[in-house]
Amino acid sequence: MLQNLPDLVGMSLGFALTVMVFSYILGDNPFFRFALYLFVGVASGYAAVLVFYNVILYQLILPLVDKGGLSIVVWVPLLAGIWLIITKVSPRLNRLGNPVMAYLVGAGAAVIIGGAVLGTLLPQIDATAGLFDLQVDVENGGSIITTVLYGLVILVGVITSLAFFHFGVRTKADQSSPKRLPWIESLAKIGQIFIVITLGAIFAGVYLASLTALIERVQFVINLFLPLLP
Amino acid sequence: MSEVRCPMCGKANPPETEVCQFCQARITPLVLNSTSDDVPPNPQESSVPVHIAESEKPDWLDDLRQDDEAAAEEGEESGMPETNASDEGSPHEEEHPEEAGEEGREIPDWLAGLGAEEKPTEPEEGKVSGEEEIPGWLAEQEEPSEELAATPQETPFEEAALPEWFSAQESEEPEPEGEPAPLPDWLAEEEAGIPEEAQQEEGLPDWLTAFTAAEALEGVQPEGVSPAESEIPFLPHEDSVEAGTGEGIEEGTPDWLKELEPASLEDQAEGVTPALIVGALTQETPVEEAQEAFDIVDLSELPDWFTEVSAAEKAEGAQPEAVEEEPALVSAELPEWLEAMRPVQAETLQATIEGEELTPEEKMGPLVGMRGALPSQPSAIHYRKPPSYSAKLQVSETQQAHIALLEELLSTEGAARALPQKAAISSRDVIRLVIAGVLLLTVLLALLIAEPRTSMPDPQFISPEIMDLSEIISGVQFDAPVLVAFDYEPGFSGEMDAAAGAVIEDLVDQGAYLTLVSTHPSGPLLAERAVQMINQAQDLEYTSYANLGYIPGGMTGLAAFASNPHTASPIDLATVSDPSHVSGWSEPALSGVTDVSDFALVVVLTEDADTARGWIEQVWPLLAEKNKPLVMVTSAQTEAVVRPYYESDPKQVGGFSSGLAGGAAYESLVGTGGLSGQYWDAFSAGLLATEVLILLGSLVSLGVVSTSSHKSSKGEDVK
Repeated sequence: MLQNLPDLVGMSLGFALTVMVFSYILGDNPFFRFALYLFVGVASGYAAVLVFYNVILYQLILPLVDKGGLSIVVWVPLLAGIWLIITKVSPRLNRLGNPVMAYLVGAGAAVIIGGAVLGTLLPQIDATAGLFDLQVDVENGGSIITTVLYGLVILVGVITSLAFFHFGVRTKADQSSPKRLPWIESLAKIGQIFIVITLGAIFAGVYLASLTALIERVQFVINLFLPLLP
Repeated sequence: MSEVRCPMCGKANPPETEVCQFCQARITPLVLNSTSDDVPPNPQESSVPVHIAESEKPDWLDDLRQDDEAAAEEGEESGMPETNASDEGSPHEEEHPEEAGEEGREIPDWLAGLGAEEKPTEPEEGKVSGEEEIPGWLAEQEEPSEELAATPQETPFEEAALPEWFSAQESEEPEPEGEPAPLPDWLAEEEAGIPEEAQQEEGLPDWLTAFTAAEALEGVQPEGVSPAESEIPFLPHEDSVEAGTGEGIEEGTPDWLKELEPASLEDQAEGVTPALIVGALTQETPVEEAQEAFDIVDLSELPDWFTEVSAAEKAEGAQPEAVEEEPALVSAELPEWLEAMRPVQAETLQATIEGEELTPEEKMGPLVGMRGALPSQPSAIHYRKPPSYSAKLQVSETQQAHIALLEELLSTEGAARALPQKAAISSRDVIRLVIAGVLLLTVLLALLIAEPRTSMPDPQFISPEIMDLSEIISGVQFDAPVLVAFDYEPGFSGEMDAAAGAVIEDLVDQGAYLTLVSTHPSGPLLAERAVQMINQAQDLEYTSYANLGYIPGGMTGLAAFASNPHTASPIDLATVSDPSHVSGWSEPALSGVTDVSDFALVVVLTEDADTARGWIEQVWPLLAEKNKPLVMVTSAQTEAVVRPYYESDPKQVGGFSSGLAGGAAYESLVGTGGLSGQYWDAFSAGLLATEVLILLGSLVSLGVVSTSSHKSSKGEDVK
């Protein structure tokens, strides 16, 4: 009994928190907020402990101690981190910490942009153009008509979806409000259809994920109370 | 007038004060004092405005002023063009009649009377000889005699009350010299036998009365005065002239008469003196002789003062006729905007200048001969209020309507509105409770049923991405390093555990060395939990894995980890809790790992599309260099984002499984049991209930819409 006590306490807390979260069905209430704040607090505390051990202690302090303080790779981020904390705490010294922030932002932007171009943009352009490579499809046993139609749908979807996000307009004297060019407006309306279908698919996925979470919680409750049933 | 304002300092003083009590400036001009005593009532000067206190002002002046004002009002009513600028309704006065009234009240009575005198008035019959034209002082003299009251009264020789015969004579063209002038009416009536005593009594001013009294004392008092003498009271008496003594004249004769006297004597001596005057002044002259003398009067021989008076009379008499004959002089109808721009100050200034020309000329002191140097009226009276321009906006009706609308909006804006009473349980709450109850009951019943009622996905119809995932995982060699990223939030653990459970179990079954990392702080804990669940499910003690923990820095940290995993995540969390534990980096499986491409397989478990794209963008290029696969197990909500990377050529994502359905399909494909199989019935029942709810909701919505449209169409028919 005592051996199962932690599990019993844990499952009881889990059940209570589950009921608190489900109470949101009746609307916003203190029980739901308590469960929410408790989760945020526990997650933050865990993250702080994890960061201290996983990053500060084992990646900063211990390497500095082990190598006798001779590792410049450790000193640079340490001093930069301390300088950033000091300068950002005081509003008067806020501007002095901008170089460190500029380094962080610049490095992050460079990484993200480079990865987006090399990992998403160029490969996706190549993939969209490759849909019309009929020779490959024929070699793979595909139908030419099916391949062409599939490629056309993808091509039209890409172009019209991009046209929907084209916000460039020209203002004319006889127009009361600026409008896009007529042919861009037509493409944008078609692209709006593709975008609506995509958002619908994403919403369906969100609903499926939520339904799965509901099932898991109900299964948890069943597993908790099923042994108690005669 | 209760007080007199000083012309110098403008302060009020008692009415009888001659010197200002404050600045010692003289208030009453010296001219007035000398004129009242020494100067006879000159016909020309009688029209000059003289400041006289109200108490000292004679009644005949008031009557005369009233007559002139009445005449001016009649002229206005008859539509005569007004020449006085102050009388014309300026825009400013039209907008502020009260101010105009104040200005009118500020104008003293004498100035108002003067303005009325300057107005061109038509000579009316009866006014010349009427009772109203008789000055008060003359009327007093006429009261004792009833016979005199019946006789035609003659007014003093003033501009405002010239005799009819005189006006008519002056208005006509000059007759040839030597031709006798026609007899006026009064003279004709006199010829009819008016008593001389009555004529003597009428029209005698005070100074002449005093003069005659002095003659009476000297024993030369005349028995009667001719009508000519009554109209020209300042003429010296014949006896005095003939006597040549001039004593009586010396006492009561004014200076101008003294200057005139030698000429008259000379003319008489030379036979040029008008016989009318001579005959009239001769007491013993009979009526016939006077008539003869009057006939030979040559008007051209009249003195200068008489000619000037005639010219002034002619000007006043001719002006109204000219106005009536020239309708073109009627003021044009100016537009309102131009009328509003009309300068009011200039007209007032012009009127002021004209008024200054009428100021008396100084007769004494160092300022003798100057006009208006010492104004008889205090300058403070001329003070005008600074022109106050109208602050009233000219607003059209449309603008007023807009203003009213804006005021209404503002008034309603400031008023507190009562919040709509919220029902305790709204229809929305009811619908939400119904949907939640249906789903809960459906899932609960499906989970309580022990036996599976729905079949698992058919392996023959499993989607290709899951087939590719299974194929890639099956190709992992034993003890090959496999990098597994637990990059999902704890809230999605229910779905992700079911979706990824079969994949992790398959990897464990393959004997791969799992290297667990996460870019989320809670990822390492979820990774440990997933391994424990596998151990519990398979009753294993799987320990050949390394939990490298949290990768800080987001995308930048991920890129650093992809290029140098050992530097980015040097710590195995097992060594933190158990220092005796050997770090994963010391294991043979990870000894040769220098970058992410050294891993045999990279598996990313995520529910976030951005996290999935980050792994693809930062890690896949390195994996592609060594043709190492990248597979994913995602949430159902991320499938739409990951699929393009799977369908690209070359495949950036070698295979992926999404959601509970993907996990069930993978379990069905691999042939293992797991959470997906347990949840599959409830998942299917929940989807069925959801579809039913969507169908019912669509039908209800369609019915509501059709009903509302039907009602609206009926409403249009009624209209």
